Amino acid sequence: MISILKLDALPLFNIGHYCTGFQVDRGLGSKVAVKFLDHQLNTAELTYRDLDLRSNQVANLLRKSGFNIGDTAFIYLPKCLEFYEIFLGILKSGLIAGTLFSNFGSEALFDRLYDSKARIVFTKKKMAAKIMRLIDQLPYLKMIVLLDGDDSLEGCQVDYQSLIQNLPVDFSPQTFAHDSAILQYTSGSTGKPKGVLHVHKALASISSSFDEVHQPLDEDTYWCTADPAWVTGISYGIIAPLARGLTQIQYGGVFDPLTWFGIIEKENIDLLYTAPTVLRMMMQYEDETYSGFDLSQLKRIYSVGEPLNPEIYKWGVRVLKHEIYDTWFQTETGAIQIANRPPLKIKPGSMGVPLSQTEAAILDENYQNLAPNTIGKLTLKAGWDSMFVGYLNRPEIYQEKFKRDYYLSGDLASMDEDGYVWFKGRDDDVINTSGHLVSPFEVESCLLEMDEIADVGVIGAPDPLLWEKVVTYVKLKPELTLSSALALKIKIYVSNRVSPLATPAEIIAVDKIPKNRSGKVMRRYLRSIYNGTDPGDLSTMEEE
Amino acid sequence: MISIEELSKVFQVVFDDDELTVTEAYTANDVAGWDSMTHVLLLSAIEEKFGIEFNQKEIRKFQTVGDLLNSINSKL
Repeated sequence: MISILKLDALPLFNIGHYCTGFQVDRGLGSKVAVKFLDHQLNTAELTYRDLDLRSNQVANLLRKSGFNIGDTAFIYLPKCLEFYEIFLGILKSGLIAGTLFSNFGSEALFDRLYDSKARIVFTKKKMAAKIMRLIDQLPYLKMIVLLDGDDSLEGCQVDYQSLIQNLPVDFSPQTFAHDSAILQYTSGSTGKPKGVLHVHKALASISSSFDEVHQPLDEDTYWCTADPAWVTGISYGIIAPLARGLTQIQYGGVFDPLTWFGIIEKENIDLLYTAPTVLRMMMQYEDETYSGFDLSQLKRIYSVGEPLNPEIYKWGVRVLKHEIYDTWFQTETGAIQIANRPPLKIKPGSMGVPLSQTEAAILDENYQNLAPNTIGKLTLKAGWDSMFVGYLNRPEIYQEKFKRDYYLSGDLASMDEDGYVWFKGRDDDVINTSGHLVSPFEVESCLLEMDEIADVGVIGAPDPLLWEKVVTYVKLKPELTLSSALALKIKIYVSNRVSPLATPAEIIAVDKIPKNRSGKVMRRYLRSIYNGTDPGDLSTMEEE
Repeated sequence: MISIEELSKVFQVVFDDDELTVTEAYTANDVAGWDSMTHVLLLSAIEEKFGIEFNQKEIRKFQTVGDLLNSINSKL
């Protein structure tokens, strides 16, 4: 079992190599690394040797094409088998690997590709059309690699299969542990999405946390249901299981409880890592839906993304006959920091206890430690291996995330006498919907481009399925009223330009958007109106 | 009675793809981005466009675009 990597002994260090060539070298070459099931449950597999050779070809493609260590390459693909070799190949080449949700709209794509000065994107033809519309505004983008390229390639488009098939299958990564490796964008309450940068040594935290929380055995089959464009999908859907030499299952179809449980049963899944929203969707079906499945092989279910309600835990015990272990981390932390895990007793509703290498503290407004059971800022002592090393192009915002050598997570929480951490909310305006962070500013900026909208304010509100939903207050241009057709137009506008995740669940027309004297939307006031709570101090509110 | 071509136009708007043409055999797995989030949006767009309403029970039964088309036409 590999638990803690001795990075000091490895001057050259590369996540891609560790997940492939290193595993081959320790005798796992013929073991299945990834078994992929498409939506019709047709299967395709890559062994560790396959993954090593194919990712080497991808690395050779990138270096042969003139890209350099430190350039950024993005993967803009739905879940597919090639995702793994491309991601690992980018890492091996020394380029920085970024991932994009396949349902991102044009503005979300532009913000990320432009900010990162992306040089190359791996995608499919249909999806490439969205990038081609932006191509004149992306001067650094030199190559679009199509997995399904054909004779009708346009401009900088090239075909993946024909490019890599004759490339050498050997490649020696030349990166160091402190070199940049992964770029993932996350939303804040102000400004555009921020590029969160991790280095190759993040693997040490990812691996040790996986061992401590998931506790896999060599022969276990593992399924992480997260999209690989999300931090969980990268850290625990690609890197952790491969670095541990496991066989993992991936499914490319849409959510359907019967299909999912069929996969758990047929593929003998031992460890399942999923999200509360998915579990809440499962809960909507009759208990009997799951009674016909043999889940005796399944050892443990883990959850991440947003807080796991006690009701889901109880449902898991009652219907699935399994406890569900909630875990907590963020894009910035790169790896799990707080979790429920055996043999600790689960306290339903708590995210669990800090991992052995994590020092978590609850701090007050002056960044002083608070007594147990007091709500404050959830912080982590800086310095763990997967701690982000910067926000791309935003050093000042990075500095603001640290006080007294503690990383400020932006979550509000309390810690009880036994060390269990309890989530209480956010101390900023970021909306957590289905485990994904949505920036109210990003949605507001998008909607202000609509001809019909004069002003807008966006907040998150509690939702029984999504944890939080996006609620939009709009001031329409004179003479307009909020018809159902206009509400739909607003929703589709956000879905197509930002993301379906950012789509307003509710749109409320108002005469005025409350602002403070410096013109900033007073989302606190909007939330108080929506929730019927005390708005607090309104002395800074702009007067009529 | 609406045609599959008319329904395709709604898909094009919701999924921001002017070239998207669905067939009756299509499922959510055949259209990029058709997930639980966009499904809600798609049904709202269909309701708005054709002046109909779906109930929760029938929404769960939709397996294909053909099912959706039949349901729409049964309400017109």
